[in-house]
Amino acid sequence: MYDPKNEKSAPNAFFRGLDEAQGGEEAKIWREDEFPHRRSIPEMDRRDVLKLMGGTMAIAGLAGSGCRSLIMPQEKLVSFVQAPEERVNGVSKHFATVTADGGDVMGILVRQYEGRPVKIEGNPNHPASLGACDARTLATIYDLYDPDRLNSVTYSGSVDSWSGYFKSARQNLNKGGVAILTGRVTSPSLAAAIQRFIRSTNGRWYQWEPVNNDNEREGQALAFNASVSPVYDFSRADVVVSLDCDVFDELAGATRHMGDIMGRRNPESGSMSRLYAFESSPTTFGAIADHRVPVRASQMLAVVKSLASQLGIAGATSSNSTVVAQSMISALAAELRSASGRSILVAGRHLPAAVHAAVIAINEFLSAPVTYLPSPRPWGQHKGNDIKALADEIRANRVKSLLIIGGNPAYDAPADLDFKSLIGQVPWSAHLSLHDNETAYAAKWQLPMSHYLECWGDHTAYDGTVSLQQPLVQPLFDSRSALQMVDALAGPPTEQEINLVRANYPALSTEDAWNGALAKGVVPRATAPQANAIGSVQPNLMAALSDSPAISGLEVRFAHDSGVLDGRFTNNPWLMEMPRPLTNLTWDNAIEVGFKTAKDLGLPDGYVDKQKLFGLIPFHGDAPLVRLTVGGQSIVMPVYVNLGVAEGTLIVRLGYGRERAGQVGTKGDEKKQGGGFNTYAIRSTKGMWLAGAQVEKTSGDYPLANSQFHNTLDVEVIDRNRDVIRHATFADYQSNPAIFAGMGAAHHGSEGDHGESGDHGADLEHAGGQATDAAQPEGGHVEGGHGEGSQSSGTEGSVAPGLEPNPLNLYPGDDYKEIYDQNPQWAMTVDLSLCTGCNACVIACQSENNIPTVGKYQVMRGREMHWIRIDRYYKGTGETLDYDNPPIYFQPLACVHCEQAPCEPVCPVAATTHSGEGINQMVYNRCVGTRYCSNNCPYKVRRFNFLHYTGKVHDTPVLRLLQNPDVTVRTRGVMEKCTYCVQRISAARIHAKVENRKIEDGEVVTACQQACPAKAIVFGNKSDTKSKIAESRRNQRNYVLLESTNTRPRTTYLGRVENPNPEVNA
Amino acid sequence: MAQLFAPAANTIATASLFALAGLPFVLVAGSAITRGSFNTKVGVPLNQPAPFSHKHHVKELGIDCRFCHVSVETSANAGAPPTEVCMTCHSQIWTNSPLLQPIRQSWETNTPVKWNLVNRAPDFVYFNHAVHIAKGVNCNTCHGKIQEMEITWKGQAFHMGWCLDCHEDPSKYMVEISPEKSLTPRQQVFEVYRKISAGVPLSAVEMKLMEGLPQRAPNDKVHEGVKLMADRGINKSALTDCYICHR
Repeated sequence: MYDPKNEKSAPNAFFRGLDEAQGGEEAKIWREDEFPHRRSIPEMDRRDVLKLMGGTMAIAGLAGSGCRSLIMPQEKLVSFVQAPEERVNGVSKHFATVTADGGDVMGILVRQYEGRPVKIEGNPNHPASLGACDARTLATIYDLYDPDRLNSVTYSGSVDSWSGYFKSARQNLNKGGVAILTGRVTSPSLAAAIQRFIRSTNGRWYQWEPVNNDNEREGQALAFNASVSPVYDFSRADVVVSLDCDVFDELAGATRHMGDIMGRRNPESGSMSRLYAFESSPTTFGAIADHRVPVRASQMLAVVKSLASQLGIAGATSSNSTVVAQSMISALAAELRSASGRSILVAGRHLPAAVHAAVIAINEFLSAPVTYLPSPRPWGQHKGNDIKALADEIRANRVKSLLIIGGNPAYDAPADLDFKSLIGQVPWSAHLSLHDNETAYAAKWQLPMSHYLECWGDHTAYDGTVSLQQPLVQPLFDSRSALQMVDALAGPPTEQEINLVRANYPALSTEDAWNGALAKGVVPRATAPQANAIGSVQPNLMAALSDSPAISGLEVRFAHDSGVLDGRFTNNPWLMEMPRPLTNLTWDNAIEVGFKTAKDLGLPDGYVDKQKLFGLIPFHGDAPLVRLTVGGQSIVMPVYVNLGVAEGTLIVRLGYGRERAGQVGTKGDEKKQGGGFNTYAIRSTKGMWLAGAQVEKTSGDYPLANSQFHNTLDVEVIDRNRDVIRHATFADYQSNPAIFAGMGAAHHGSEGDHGESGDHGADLEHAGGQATDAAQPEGGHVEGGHGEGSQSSGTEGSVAPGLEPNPLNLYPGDDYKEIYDQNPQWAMTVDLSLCTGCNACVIACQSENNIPTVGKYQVMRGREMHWIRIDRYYKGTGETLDYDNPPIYFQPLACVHCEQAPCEPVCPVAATTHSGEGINQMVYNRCVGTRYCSNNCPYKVRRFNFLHYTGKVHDTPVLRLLQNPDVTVRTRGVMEKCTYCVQRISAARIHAKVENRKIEDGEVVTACQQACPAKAIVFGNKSDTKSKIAESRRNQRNYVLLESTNTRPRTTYLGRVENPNPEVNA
Repeated sequence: MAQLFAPAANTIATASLFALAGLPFVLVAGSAITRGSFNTKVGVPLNQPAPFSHKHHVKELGIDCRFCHVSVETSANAGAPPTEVCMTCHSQIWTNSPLLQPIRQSWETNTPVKWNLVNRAPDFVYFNHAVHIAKGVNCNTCHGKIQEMEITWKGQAFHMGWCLDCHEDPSKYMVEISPEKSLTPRQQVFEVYRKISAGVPLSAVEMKLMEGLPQRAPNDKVHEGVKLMADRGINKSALTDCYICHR
């Protein structure tokens, strides 16, 4: 029997970290105190208290004296000499452009305010975006205003000029031995310019991208004997199988694919797709998948081969491996066969080419909805050996001049090449870069590169769609784009920058066509791409695939980081502070290992079991450091236990430990700065993605800033199964649509001591214990406990329980009915079936709402400022708990805007109040920072600015340009939280009022909703019964988080539905 | 035990009592200073690089407000005219006037004129001109008798209480400004200025409004304001929400 006082007895407990599952201290400390280990007033010296009070009053008196105009200087009103056309002061405009900075080509809309870009949004016309955006692309706007940007041409550290550079370049490039090194080139115009350049200088072009798709392309070459580009149509996929692929982060077009995959996960549509993940490290796809199996990356070929032989593909031989249970493989094969033509397999970019070839063979065998197009980038693909070839050329002294465009090869090239010193050996070298990084330091010339928002360009997306990149702002510094610079060296420089791009588009020669393509964000295609140009798969492909060398013992897998990618965003504080999905680590990387492996490594007692470490003050129990040796090279790194990593696998993330990144990213003090560990040091050409490794213990330890226990839901006894995450299988949901309502614990017998509630409580306890057993008629009892609202659930117009006044409630809850009836009532739902925890909403919110970052030390103290956090839960207790592969659940949580908000009555200065539109308002200029509201918030969604985290914005002029002018930049001592993007609501309201009409459904889109690739967030006016939000709230899966607190929040959740294969004995 | 108070304590105590009696005067004086135009600058003409006269341009020449403040109907900001707008006329007339030297200089050197800001809401207040114009709030309500200003001054101190006075119940200030014509509220705002420059006699309501005084409806006329609010789609139930002005 479940005893609510004893969480461990819950049938299905959710926990946020190992410590919590094992009843450790740390989770308890964080739950009991939002900001643990702070000094309280009784601990302070009496004199100090008086001094502080006196000082505070004096300053408050000065500020409140009302003598602004006597103290403040006269402000100036500066108007234009000639106003730019169509510019309206105070009104923002959107412009379409495109970028590849985030790692993938993404069509975006940029909101521009008075000539400065402030926010990036997805472009609905662009196939890779469809209106959504990913976290990294959203954060690229910070790079534009990064105070650390390279801002002048320097030669060996002394300031020079562009004309000086061009003079030197033209002299040296004539001498022969010219090499140009770029990253992956997705721009047709840049490719054309580079080709002009190498023709005119007789040079050679090399490409290097540390996080590349070389293996995938090799596999394609094996399969088709041609260079192809796969275009997946996940909207037609009933079954998606991922072989160690971070589908939502690494696949080309991932943002769009997330929308397509999750679009098939709508249980109300009557059918749901099924997702399988075989992975060495948990990914966001694996977390949402119906079946997740941890498999070492080196054994992935065995898995795919046995699957192929089970499917009966000619030439496929099962390796009789027991890596994955045979029942799983046969069930999957049966399902794939029955879903022929409606299933897709994808493989991770780090897997050997053979796996990719086998995946193509299976996809073709099953006639999967994958189109193989001729490569959309015909100018030469990235090849991993390129960098090695270049290194050999330099060693042979055949390179006289080296031009490096972007990238950072001195830092991220394979360690055995020692590329950094090779750059120094070249007589003449130049690096065009946004930042003064390791490569710029090694090169003779450091050239400031224009950010993509400052220059013209173009990019080809994964499916061949070409988009034009237009500048949104004049270059902030004296910089040039890659296109400008290469063009200037290739011949007589093009007069106007725009013509560098426009000359390549003869079809857009008319002004209308050109402006149309600019406005839409995509260039119309002349002809549809020819899919049949690619032949069929090579016969006997499967038999030809050779086994990759087995790795015995521990294997290290190099993985990109969802924040900094390959190191290009290490100086971006938004991405550094973004809690990484699944680990919740910020500011650092660590060796991620599974539970069993961690035990085997012999880490200190208490670390593995309790993981009693993170960010607690005083810093007891930091993460133990180990020495990781790969192929003779070793680094010392901390270990982090990431539940779900395959046994024997060590996941190391690339992109950290930078020596010259900038104020934010340069590796520094372990407590103040973080910055992680350079894992490129052990990555060699022999093991670019996978390698055997040895680990030995060392004595030291290292603090990691991990946010997993921060802001724990604050209720004394939570039955997390029913109160926090509600989930059910698709079959159960179909047979009993009210199953989610039945999970509520609102009137649990233990919640209060009302005598008469005992009976209800008993019923509920019974039903709760059997909540997943859908066929039980007891479900009816549960509904009874909720009164009228749920009795009629299922008929149109009814509202899910917990959203309407409860008859048993002492408070009728209609206090504001009259006001609410007259105004739109804002509400939000988050569909947990769709949320993949990808963090796009977190960064979108940060960008929209001027949210500051706080730095590693402050994160360790639990003071991060994100208005949305994504809670990650593992599930299991007692015997059901599988430490090696626990089910993972995500729950994004921002202020839920309670109608009966606990924060409001406790504010002594009425700084947080309720609006007539049902929003819980936070008035910054009234807040005095008592933090009572935060203390009283059961959801722990309020954020307090302890130390003037926006100080850097105030002190750095260029960062002021980044701030959204519609939102106040909050200062020290002020509480803040999600406002439902009230600036967007206000804009829509004013617009509607000026036109004397009502706000239409869909007119207000919050930043998080806009960014969400899975469309998990719905927002709107719930009073409008025809609106999407009203429909979403009528959904049977709708439930209220912490319903028992009776806060009646406006943000509600739709329970998660899983669709496991009944044939698999999970 | 030693004496706690020295003999001088008696004198100090007596003096303190008298000082206490003076405290109300200090408070009143302090409040008078901070609320007075010495501090708020209400009614104090503010010198500008070029002595622009609203009186001359609005009243005597009859130039519409929107000729210079172009975005007042569409944006939060009314918009300050670029030098180009001044030069529309002043490249033809008063071309040698020394008063216009800063304007000509701005035009010739392509450097903006730096006017002194007269009306300013604090940074944490998000005022929007467009919606106020759309609902028929006259310029003079906030900016004083602008058509009479030789050198522009501040019409109101923009204290929060002053804003709330109307936001709590706009009906008490709602009047039909030019009732003889069936104009939209937005048109009514600018109709008055047309009348003034055309020399058309103003009604009593318009006269009072043009003085920059609050147009408070008499008690027996409040129902008219309530009707006007309904006509103009003004819903006062959420007008005092904090988020209306602060975000």
